[in-house]
Amino acid sequence: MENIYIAPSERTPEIDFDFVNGKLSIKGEAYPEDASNFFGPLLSSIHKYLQTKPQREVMLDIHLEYFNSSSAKALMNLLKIMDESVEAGARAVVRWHYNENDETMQEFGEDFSEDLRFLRYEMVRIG
Amino acid sequence: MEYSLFDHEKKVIERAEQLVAGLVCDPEEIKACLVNLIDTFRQSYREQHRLIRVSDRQQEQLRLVKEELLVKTKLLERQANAMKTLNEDLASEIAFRRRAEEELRIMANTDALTGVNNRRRFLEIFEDEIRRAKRTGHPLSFMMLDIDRFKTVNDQYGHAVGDQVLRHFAGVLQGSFREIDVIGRLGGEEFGVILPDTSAQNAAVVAERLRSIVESREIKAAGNTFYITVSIGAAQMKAGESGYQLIARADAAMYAAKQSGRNRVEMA
Repeated sequence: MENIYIAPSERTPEIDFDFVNGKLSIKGEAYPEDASNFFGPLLSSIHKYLQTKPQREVMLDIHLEYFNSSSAKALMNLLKIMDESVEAGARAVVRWHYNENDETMQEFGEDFSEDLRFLRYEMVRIG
Repeated sequence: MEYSLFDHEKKVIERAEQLVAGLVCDPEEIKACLVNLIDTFRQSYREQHRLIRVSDRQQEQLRLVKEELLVKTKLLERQANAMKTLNEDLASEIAFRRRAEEELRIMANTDALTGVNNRRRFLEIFEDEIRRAKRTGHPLSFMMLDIDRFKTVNDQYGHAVGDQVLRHFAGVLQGSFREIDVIGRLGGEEFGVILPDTSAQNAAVVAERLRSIVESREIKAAGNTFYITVSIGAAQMKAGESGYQLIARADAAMYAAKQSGRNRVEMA
C-alpha cells in the first residue's frame, strides 16, 4: 500500500502512515471543517491495510493536543475498526500520547480505550 | 466517494428497516439482526456518553479561558484608562509649560511698558542683522531716537503721564515701519530702529517722515493735551564696522541733532 503523508495545517493534524514499516502516526490538533472527508479516506485505508494482515505488528501513535467532537467520533470509529481487525487476526497496538500536564487529553485517551476488547492500547505520558 | 462518520449506524438502521418491512423472514436472521441492533445501539449510547464528556470538558475549559480573558480585559481597560488620564494630565502639563515658557520668552525679550523689544533682545537681533548684511552685502541702517525734553514732561505732568508718552511714542514707531524693521527701547526715552536693506539716503527719508509724524500727533493724558518731538540720529553701516561702532555714530548724530535745536534728523 502507498504511504500517506499529510502536512499539519491550522485545523488538521500531521498524518504519517508508513504502511511499509507498519508505523502510523496522527499528531497535532484536529478540528477540520469536514471531519468525515478528512478522516474518512484515512480510516478506510487503515482498514484495508489491516485486512491484508501485515506480517509485522502495526503501531499507531496518536498524539493530539486538541480535537473537536467530530474528530472524537472519527477516532472512536478508527479504534473500533482496529479492534475488529485484531479480532480478525491482524496484530496492532495503539499508543495514546499526552503531555504531562494535560489531564484532559489523558482522560480522553483513557475513555477511548474503554470498549476495546482485542487491540493493545497504551497510554504514554510525555514531558 | 462520500464519507460519513456514521456509516455503521446507517447500515444497521437500514437492516432493521428491512426487517420491519418483512424483507427478512428467517428467524435466525431476525435474531442476528436484533442482536446487531442492540450492540450498535449500546455502542452508540456509550459513544454518545463519551462525546458529551469530551464536549462538556472542552466547553468548561473554554468557559474558564473566557472568564480569565474577561478579568484580563477589565484589568487592561483599567490600565488603559489610567494611561489615558495620565496622558491627558501630561499633555495639559506640557501645554501649560509651553505657555509659561512662551510667556517667559516674551517677558525676557519685551519691554514691559511699551511692548517693543527690550535692550537685550534688540542688541541680539542687531548682531544677527549686522552679520546678515555683511553676508549678503545689502545695506543696513540704524536709527537712534530720543524724545525731546522728556524730563520736562515727567516733571510737569508726573511719571504716569511720562509712561503714557513712552507708550504713545512706541505706538507711533510700531505704526510707521516695515515688517522687517526692528524697534527696541534702549533705555529711558531712548529707542533704536534697525532698518535692514536700507541705505543712508532712504534712512534719512524714513527718519524725516517719522520726525514729522511724531510732531503732528496730539497726546491726551490726564486731562492735558500736548505734543512731543523727537531727535533722530541715523547712520548706514560701513564696511568692516562693528555694531557697537554703528550705534556710537548714530548716537553721536542724535546728540548733534539735540545740539542743533532738537526735533531734527542728523545723518552720520
